[in-house]
Amino acid sequence: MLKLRNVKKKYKDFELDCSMEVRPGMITGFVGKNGAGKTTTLKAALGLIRPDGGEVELFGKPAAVLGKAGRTRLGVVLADSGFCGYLTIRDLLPSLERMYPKFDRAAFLEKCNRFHLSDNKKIKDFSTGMRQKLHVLFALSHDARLLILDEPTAGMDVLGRDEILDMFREYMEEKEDRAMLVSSHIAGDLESLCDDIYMINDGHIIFHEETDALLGDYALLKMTREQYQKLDKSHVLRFREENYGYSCLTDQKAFYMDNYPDVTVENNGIDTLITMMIRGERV
Amino acid sequence: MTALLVKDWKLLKGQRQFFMVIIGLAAFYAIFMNETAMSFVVTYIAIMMAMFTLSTISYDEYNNGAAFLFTLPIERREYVLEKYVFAAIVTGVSSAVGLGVCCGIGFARGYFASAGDVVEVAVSGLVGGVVVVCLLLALMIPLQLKFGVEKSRMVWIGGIMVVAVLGFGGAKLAQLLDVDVKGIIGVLGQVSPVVAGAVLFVILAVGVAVSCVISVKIVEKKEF
Repeated sequence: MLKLRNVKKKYKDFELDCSMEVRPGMITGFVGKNGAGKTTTLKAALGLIRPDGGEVELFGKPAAVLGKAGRTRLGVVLADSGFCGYLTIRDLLPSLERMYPKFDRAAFLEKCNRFHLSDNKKIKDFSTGMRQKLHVLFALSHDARLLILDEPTAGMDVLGRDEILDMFREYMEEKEDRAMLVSSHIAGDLESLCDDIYMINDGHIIFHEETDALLGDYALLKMTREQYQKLDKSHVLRFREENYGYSCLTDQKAFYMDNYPDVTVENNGIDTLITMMIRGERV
Repeated sequence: MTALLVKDWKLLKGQRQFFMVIIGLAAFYAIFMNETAMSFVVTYIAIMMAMFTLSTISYDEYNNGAAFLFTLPIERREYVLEKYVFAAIVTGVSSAVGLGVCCGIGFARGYFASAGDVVEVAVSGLVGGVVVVCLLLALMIPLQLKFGVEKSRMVWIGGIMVVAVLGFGGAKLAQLLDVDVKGIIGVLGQVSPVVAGAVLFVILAVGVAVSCVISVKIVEKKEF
């Protein structure tokens, strides 16, 4: 559905070199600290920036030749951009109907109403969370095959976020050939939503794993200095020195549970993974 | 393109206060000034509407909105062309309406002794409007697309200064080279209005076309 092969973009103090793939039927998460290159990658995928090298492929074609028809199959939410703030939802409708042959006006307005988004209020007067809800609802309104979502739940409260995540799941279940690439700072959202996760740091993909494996096989090991000295480190991905000794990230939780019963094994979340992959040291 | 035209129309409708001020000022001139102000009113309305077209670019870029706009099924070339088409439609329609109203007021106040007077006001108002609007848009649309609102104003001011310096320098150079500038102007004055109008039309059409090509290249190269 979406392929990035060695996509490069060089700025004065940042360099992107990224390869990733989003497959049909999959929800792919995209994580990394601020400034790691998530938004730059998504903008390269959307043609908003021109890569210095590499290839972007959308729906099996080079993104450069996607054209207007191809873009109707995309649903996009950007973290730092959206509809013109001087328009109202009602103002947008005639343009959206002309742009998207499959735009479902009635369903879109019904959902806007459900989320208390006034259709005659200027969008700039919405709160950040409301604006983001509007963009999510629009992305889901025109039968897009690929959703590219940059921080789609930013600024939303817990209830709103849950409701939106449920809508994403429903949307994906409706048709098998849909796919979603979603970046978020909220690890819990991605853990419960995504099939696989890419992690980017300093413009490079440093990690890719299926979420089930991440939550099932990965773990944080906590141990004293003595335990660390004796530990078989062949399955340790990263380690950090701590007050109590060492913490280690592993992708073979069962191995250490079986062979090192004295070592504390904590189930891993994405937040821990990000911290260890970025701040931890390689063995 | 119709989707973009509708969007800009909605933006235009949202600026009711701006248009009330324009209509108020135009009405003031038309009612309280003499017949020579009639053509000025038409030109004034055309310029104000052209300025509004430029402001739609600012609205599109408000809060980095252009990035999202170009994720929608819109070609960048189409976006640029729409700005020129929208400008032509809104300045054309508003000038025509302004002209009609002015002529109505002119007749009511007895400014026009003959049909020739009406034609004179209409032609001078429309020609003035077309020339100024074409020059304004041909220069400002690419500048605004390239530099944004604030910087484009600075570039505009800088450009005017450069033109002034070139004009002054040219005059001085003509003096030094003993060129008969008044004679040349005199010859130009003898050209028939039809020929002059045709030449002016061609110059403006080429200018707008070049501006459009430059604007397309600017937007196609732009990153968001």
